Amino acid sequence: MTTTDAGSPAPAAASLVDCLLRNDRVAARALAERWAGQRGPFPFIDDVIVPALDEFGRRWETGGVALAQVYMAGRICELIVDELLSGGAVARRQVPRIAIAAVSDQHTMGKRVVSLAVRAAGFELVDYGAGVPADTLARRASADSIEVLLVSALMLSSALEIETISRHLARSGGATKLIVGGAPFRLDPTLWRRVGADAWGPSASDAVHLIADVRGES
Amino acid sequence: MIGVAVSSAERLDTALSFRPPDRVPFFLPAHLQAARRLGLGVRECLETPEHVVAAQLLLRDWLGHDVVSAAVPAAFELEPWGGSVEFVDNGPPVAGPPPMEPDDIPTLEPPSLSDSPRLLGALRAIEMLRARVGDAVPVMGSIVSPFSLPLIQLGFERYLEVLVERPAEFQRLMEVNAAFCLEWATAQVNAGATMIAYYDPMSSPTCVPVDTARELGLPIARRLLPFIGAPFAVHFASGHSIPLLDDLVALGATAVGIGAQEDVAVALERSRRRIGIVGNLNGVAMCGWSPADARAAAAHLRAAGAGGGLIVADCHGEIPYPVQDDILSTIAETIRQGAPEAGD
Repeated sequence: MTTTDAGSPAPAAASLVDCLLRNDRVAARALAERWAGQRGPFPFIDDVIVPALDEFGRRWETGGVALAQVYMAGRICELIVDELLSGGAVARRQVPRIAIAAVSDQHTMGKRVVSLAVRAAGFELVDYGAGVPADTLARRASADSIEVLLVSALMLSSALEIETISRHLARSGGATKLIVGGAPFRLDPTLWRRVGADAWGPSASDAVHLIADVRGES
Repeated sequence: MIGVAVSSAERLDTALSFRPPDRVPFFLPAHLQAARRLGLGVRECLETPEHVVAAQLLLRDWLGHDVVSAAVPAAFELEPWGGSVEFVDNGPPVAGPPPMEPDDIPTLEPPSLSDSPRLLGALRAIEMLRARVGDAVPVMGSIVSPFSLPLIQLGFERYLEVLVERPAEFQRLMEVNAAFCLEWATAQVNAGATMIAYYDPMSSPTCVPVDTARELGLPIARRLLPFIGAPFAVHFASGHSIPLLDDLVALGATAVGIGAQEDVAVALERSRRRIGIVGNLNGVAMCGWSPADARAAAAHLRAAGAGGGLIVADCHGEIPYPVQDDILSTIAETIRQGAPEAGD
């Protein structure tokens, strides 16, 4: 195998976007092997995967890609990161403690694409599943000392239940930051404040940056 | 026409013929608010045909809008496939966990309507509504498309895997779903529905690339919709529609619902008087509107629809439960003020 320089991050991220748009796992994996092999897994994750998924986020917000493409891109990136980190030499990021759930209803796609983006950024996260009642979710997050709770909602009635979570978390001392997303928040950009969330993001890739923002790390 | 009362059916026909109606036709699917006004719980109202009819007639009296509807929540359409319906106090019922696995598809058979008490109840509601309003008011039925039903049959993620990686199972699922959808749609038409809303969010460019919709979603619609025996409107349930307008014209759709984030003027311009536009009040934002907000939004659409081609409605097919009655009254009153003045 000939070793060539992996190149700078921006062109690599653009190449990865092309691979993901074509749903070309083989080419994406080859790019990852070349880049991560020379620079290490986390530089590849931070400098290539995260910007590539950010580009998908931008295109999603402007109608340039569809939800199915965001999902497939996230899935390929998750598989790549799983492979990069599977040897055990490099562990996933365990800090902060992150959990995710779809509150009250069974629409799981939003939760899944956010999970993919967060895992593709190298984080570990606890998945509380779908259809979780708001009060149950709040209690579990507190009991598990979750530092960032990601909550997805598709139905407006589910989104409004998030206020129950934010109230519970505030009563518990406010150590858990609450980030929300889903169609109701896109349709009403003031809704996240009304339900007491700390932040919201219109696209899955925003979650990675919001995790840092709500912890004051950016 | 001065002095001659125009029926809702005539008003819709005029608007959908792209001529100026006496006033812009509108429809606010506020059955959750109607249940509240009737003193009924959401479940009690939706499950009982007599209550569905009472709610629809109440909305006609209260709002003066131009359609009655026996459209059922999508969760009801999942029930014949083994799915469950979960009711909440402050919103529409939602589908329970997906009842199917991809491995179930090869042996899947379409269920019978006769096994679904809730869908049979909806047919009874259509019959009663039609008996009450006759031909003066359109009676709307609805189906979830064969291409979109798997979103709740399998869940989005497993459905995408079938769609992308298991073409034989995908084709089988579409055949079975289309058989059920055809039976369900024609039963509604036979019961008295005069138009069918075809809910197909999966074909929206919001969910899949336009090429995928053209290759997979719309051909299924083309094999199904010409045979239901009634005009149909395609609705993407808040998803974007404008990129598919030409395709929907070719499909023979009478009208299409557009998303809240789409521009109604652009939709009307690109429709080029070939397909009616339905929309596009933002139901979610409506929860926080003041009466002035409601008046402004309704006046904007009233002006846009003055020349025909527009039915004012929400963007999703259901007014959210938290929307207050005074907001809906304001919207209705604003629309009912009649043909707008120039510059309105």
